Amino acid sequence: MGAVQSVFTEQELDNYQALTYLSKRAILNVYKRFSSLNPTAILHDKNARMPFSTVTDIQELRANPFKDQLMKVFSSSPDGMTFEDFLDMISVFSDEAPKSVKVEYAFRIYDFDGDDMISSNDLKEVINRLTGDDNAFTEGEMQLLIDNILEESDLDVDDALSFAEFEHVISKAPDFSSSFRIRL
Amino acid sequence: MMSALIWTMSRRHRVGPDTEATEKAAQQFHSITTEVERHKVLHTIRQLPSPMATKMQLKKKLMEGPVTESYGVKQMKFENKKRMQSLKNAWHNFKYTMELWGSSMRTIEGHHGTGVVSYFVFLRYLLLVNFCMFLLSMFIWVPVVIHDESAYTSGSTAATCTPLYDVNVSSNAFELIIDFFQGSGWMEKTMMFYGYYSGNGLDNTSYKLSLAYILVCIFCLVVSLILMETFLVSDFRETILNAGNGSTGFCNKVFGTWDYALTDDASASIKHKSVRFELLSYVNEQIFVKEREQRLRDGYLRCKLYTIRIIINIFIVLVLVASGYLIYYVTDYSTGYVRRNAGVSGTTEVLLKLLVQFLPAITISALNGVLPVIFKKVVAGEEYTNAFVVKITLVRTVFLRLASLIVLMGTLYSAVTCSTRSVCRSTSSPCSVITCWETYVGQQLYKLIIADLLAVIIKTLLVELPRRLCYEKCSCGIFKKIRPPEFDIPACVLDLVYSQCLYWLALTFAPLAPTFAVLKVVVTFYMKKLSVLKACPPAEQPLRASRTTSFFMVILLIAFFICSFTVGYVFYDMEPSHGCGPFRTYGHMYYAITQTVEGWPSGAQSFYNLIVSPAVTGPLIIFLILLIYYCSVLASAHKSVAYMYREQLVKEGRDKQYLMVKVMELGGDSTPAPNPRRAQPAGLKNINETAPAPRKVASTNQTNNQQMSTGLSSPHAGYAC
Repeated sequence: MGAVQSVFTEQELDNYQALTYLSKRAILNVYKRFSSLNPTAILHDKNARMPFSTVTDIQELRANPFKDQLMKVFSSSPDGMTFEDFLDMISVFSDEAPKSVKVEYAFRIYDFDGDDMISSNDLKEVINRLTGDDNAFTEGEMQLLIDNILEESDLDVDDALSFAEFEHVISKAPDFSSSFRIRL
Repeated sequence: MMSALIWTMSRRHRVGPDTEATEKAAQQFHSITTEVERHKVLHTIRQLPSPMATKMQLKKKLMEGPVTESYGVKQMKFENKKRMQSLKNAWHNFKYTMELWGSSMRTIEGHHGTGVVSYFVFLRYLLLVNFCMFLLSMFIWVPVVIHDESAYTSGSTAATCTPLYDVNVSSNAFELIIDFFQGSGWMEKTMMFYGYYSGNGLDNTSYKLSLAYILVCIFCLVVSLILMETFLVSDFRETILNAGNGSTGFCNKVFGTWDYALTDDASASIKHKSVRFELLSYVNEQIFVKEREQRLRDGYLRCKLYTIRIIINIFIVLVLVASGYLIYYVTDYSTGYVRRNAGVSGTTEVLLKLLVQFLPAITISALNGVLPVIFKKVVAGEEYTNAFVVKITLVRTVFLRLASLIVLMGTLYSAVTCSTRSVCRSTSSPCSVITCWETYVGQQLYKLIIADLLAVIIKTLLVELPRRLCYEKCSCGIFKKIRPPEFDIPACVLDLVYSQCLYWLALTFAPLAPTFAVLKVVVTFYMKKLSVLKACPPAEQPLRASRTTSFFMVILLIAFFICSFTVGYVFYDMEPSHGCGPFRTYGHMYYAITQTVEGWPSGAQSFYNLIVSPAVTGPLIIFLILLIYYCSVLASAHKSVAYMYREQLVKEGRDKQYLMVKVMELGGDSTPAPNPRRAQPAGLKNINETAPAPRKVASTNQTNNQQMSTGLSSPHAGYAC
């Protein structure tokens, strides 16, 4: 731990602690995990970019059906993910992050086409990812599910979920906060 | 200020460090000069959904400007808050490094998901409670160990009226082992039981063992209650916040179902399958509910269903009563058998006696295993929805567990009060004399505790692991029917609640019980971890962590109140034995406290008497009832406000639609036909078609301070600038 601690100054650690929801030890642990992906590159440059395929290889993300969306949403550039992006991600998925922050990012993750609305196509993609490739629903079942979802949440009846509607419906979903969590 | 900050950080893009929006936001920082405001803005920056680099830049710009000192109360409050924050950070740091069993929990979570982990979190929390009780119980036995005392023989003063309380200790090795399990013989003379603590050795010191004893018992219960409250409140708050009006079942199942903590590929594939199954079954359930409503329009069928439900409920009540009677009968038989065969020797007879003594524990365990299966079979005829089936089966199982505990206590009570323990000369009575009834009760509870501990070990090692091995290796004939064991969370949690009750009750009669409790919790953790990781595969229909943890806490609380009532009754109304223990000179146990109070100066004495008199406690109870009523009124008011906001959101949606139609008309396009599927959304049938002019909506979510306006420019805009 001593070697890792010397990478950051006290000021930097304080900054990170003020701007994320993690404790100092947790931040150092995140750094350790991130640098283990490519130790030489990270040692050379703290803010080196890791390609997405390397980052999604870590154990916590390997089995996640939304891992490519996670990479897209949290990275500051399409080339790869830096340590700070990764820290951002872990902070949002930590226990202490408030629900509002999680809902924000959840909306971006589930918005596959990036048009600021969760449309039926986005919903279709979400459900397909959830059931996996071998258990896909038939066309009729899928349409039934989407109809039901939109009926519950689409208050202005425009066939898509805006952020306000998404937030409104997620705030009533009891399982969201306990499932939207990654612990390193 | 904060809303403007969030407003400028548009949600569409992850704003980079040098974009215009950041600059705009940074400009607004010039108006912030006091430390207090700075702190608030820093909090808001933390919440921004932007990359770290942006946030760092904003923070730098924020901290650049000059700071004016603010004085007075505000500054003081701010200083306090900063101190609390740094303390909280240090505590978080400490918790992160010292988290007990953290890596095991993460492994389990990776395999099974958050539902199963909530059980282990509950277990870890119970360890904390029992450990605190263990620390408190040291106040009883440590002084006694230090001042080693003589064996309890008859005292010399007239106040200590001691019929002979002597225990025969055999020297036969086999009998010694049996005695360990029964809690009799040499075991009865040890520190384990109440009878050891006569306090003779402490007579010369100022340490009053009787007062310490009663205070430790009371404080243990109070500490347990406080710890339960802290655990319950955090969970309960989430549950209240999540309890919505209006169904959100589908959205919950789609957006909240994937457990991001799952790390194992095999578990992930099982999860995929279970998601599909859950979504389909939820759809089917909605169809079933609609169908049932249709069917029940027919009066005859409705009558039939209700009669069936009433019959089944009566049947279940009868079953519960019958099981209560069975426990009573078995306990009675067991005590009678032991009394009749008090002096037997010879291996088989002694073993038989041991078995009969454990009969109540075995009956309770058997009932706890068999009856829930019956409940599950019977509930199919009542035609409830799946969620309600789970709930009602759980409630019935809880009744069963609590009932068995209450019946056991009742039987012990009747056995104890029947004897004549308050007289010096043993007179003839219908039931035999129990000298030192507290030790007797302690012995019965001790046997239950041992049985409990053994049951956990046996169940995991001898039932679940072989079953899993059988399922994996043998695939012939009858073995094909054996399915792998399931990790049944409700049953495990109720087991924990039951054993915790035993420990709360046993503390009064067996001061070393908390040590056993700590040991048992640790053993349970490792056994269950073994079971979960090696024996039980991930469940197809996982239990939802969110809703059940607070429910289990409520069960624990109810059980706690039953136990504390029993303990209070023992202290208040039952006469202690005159042959053993620290209370042998008192008429009731609580006299230890009143005697101490009599030693105080008269001012303190009268103050104490006033506090415990009905003049104070009566109005206090009335005040608390009024407070509860006020809180419930407040809660229902908040509920209707939330409903009002939802209606407002819906109305805004209709406004937007109407305006879009108007725009299309004015633009010359044909009016888009309303989507036939969405023509009549539920609950909006009575909204007037001619919506009023658009108006800004007050934010529904105060914490985010977002402003939403019905945009005319782009049909896609959630909200537009």
